[in-house]
Amino acid sequence: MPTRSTLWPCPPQDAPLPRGFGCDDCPRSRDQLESGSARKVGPTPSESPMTVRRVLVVDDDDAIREVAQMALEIVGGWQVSSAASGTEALRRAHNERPDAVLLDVMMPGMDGPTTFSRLRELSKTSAIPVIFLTAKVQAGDRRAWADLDIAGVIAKPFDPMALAAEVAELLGWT
Amino acid sequence: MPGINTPPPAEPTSVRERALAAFRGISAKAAASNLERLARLDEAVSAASEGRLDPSGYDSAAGVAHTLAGSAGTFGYPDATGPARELEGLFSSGVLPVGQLPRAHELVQGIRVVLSAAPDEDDS
Repeated sequence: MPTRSTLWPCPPQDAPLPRGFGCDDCPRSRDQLESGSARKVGPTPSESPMTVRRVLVVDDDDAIREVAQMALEIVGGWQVSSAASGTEALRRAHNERPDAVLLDVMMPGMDGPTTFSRLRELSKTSAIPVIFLTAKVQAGDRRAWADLDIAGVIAKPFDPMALAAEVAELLGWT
Repeated sequence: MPGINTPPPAEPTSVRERALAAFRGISAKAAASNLERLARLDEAVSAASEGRLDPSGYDSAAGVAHTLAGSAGTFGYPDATGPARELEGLFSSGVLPVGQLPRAHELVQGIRVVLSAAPDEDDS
């Protein structure tokens, strides 16, 4: 069974392939994959659909949550769920066991660092890598997180088209 | 009849086109939210100038400015981020001295001008 790209249906034959597009079922992109000029954005032949990366996006801002989810799904090809609060994030992370969490820092109620600490306390979520997504850019703010075992920080404002690549780089996802 | 046989617009096919199409829809909602946030900041500056902004009001205004800084820049208004951050700093201090009020007003007006323009769209 050929592995379908998450971009199915494939681009028309006369349309340029998106940069990095790769699909085992497409002769043109197979050539790019073999030459190393393309990177798969969907499951590789060795992966089943069940191993597609799953990410939980946590942000109290509806639009940020939506655009991050959209960017990670369309550009990253990942399965993405979202939460609007730290409390909801704990519940979803516990139930869904995502491969990573993208976590806003400033949220009403339970903020990002507190949510992170709670994730670390729970056995089912303690090993999930967490990336802070934040508009806090001052060195003092970053120093406050120095002792936290987070995977990285992505600053707001962010480029939605580049978000998936930034997340993948921080997590070592190829 | 003009247009009756006009084919419908082509569906976006590339990843980038699909993402940009989705992004535009979300951006419209964000624009409305950010204008509301700016209105709240304007009210907070007025309240501070009249001595009726309490500590929770300062905290709330700082939070709104913080959210605006991140959101405006993400949705095509990078020139609003710096002023919003500066407003966040002013409100985070817990007090707006009289000498800082003109600056706060200026920042709000500056952000209003930025948000009233079309968003930056990077189609490269």
